[in-house]
Amino acid sequence: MSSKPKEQEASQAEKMAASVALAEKTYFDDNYGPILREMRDKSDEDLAAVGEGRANLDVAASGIDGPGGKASLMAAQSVDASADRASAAASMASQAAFQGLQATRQRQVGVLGTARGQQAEATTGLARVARIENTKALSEAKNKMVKRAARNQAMGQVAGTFMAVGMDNKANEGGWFKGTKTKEEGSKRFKNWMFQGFGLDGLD
Amino acid sequence: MSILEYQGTGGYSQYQTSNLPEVSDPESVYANMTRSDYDNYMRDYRGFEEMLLKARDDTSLIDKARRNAPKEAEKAKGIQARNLARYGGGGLSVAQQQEQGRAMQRGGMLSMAGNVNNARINQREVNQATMADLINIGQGINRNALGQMGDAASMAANRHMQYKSAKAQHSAQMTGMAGQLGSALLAAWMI
Repeated sequence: MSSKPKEQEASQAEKMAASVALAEKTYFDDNYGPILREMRDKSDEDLAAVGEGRANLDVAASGIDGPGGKASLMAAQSVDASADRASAAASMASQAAFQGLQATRQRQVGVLGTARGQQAEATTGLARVARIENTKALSEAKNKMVKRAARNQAMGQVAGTFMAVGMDNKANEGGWFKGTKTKEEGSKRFKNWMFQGFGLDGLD
Repeated sequence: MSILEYQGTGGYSQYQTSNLPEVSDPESVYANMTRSDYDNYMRDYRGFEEMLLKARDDTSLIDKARRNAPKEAEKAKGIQARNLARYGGGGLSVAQQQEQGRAMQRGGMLSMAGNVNNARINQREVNQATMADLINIGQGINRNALGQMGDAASMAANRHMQYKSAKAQHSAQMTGMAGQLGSALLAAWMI
């Protein structure tokens, strides 16, 4: 009959593996546990507010209130600039809130996934908030303002030329609409004006 | 501070190979770890998880869009009034000023309707994305739980089988021993 069996002792490798595992686990709990709890608390941060601030700035900087974001007579006189501004600002705020909420949820799900031992999203989502897409309303309002400014500038140029030529004619003892230049001089001036206007060389 | 410098300060780790913790009963240490991990989860993350599960019915974007449109209209109205004051009325006739007011009103209503509609779509997108992520996490948790339970069940079945087999072996041994004893007695009596 065989002798009573003795319980087998763990091998050195087994003991070392268990010791290292315990040390690693303690280290993980002490160092990574607090970080994950901190991430959990930070993931509640209202990123929408950050985005909305940025969206407001984008609206102001878009030139919708006037060139360079400054108040302008042109914007004050416009019938629909103010309505366009309100519409663009509201749609940008909504877009910011959307992207902010997306980023917040992404963070929260990442924290939960890590806490539950699942895959984590390695992104803070802040980068997304920083890149708020310009909404259609803001782009349209901006385009309208650019067109309005271009129209005003063109009108100003025409008026300026009208005044300058008229006053030149008057100074040369002609009428406001009647110049004192000969046909040749006139064609030379026109040619010069064409070259200047198109930025070409070859002025006479 | 580089990792090498940090190592030099002695603050790199409390454990070196010479003072690693000794584990005499890995099974009970493992059981304690599992229990403590679950306690930590319940304490630190259960509430957070429940909050996130409820977030799939979130309506904050729609609510915000409803609040934002009138607020922005009010703001634009203020800007317009200040600009007009700054330029002494801007040379606008009464009719033009009235038209400005009407454009504001129309714009405000259109913006409110458009933004709320967009917010509904965006809200659904966020909520569905959250739900999809939660389902993924849930699937993983479920898989882990099933795996752990499967391991426990197969270990219990193995133990039971080993017990049965040991019992049968013991019974066979006893029977054999009895046979040997019986045959020895018989031989002694017959000699």
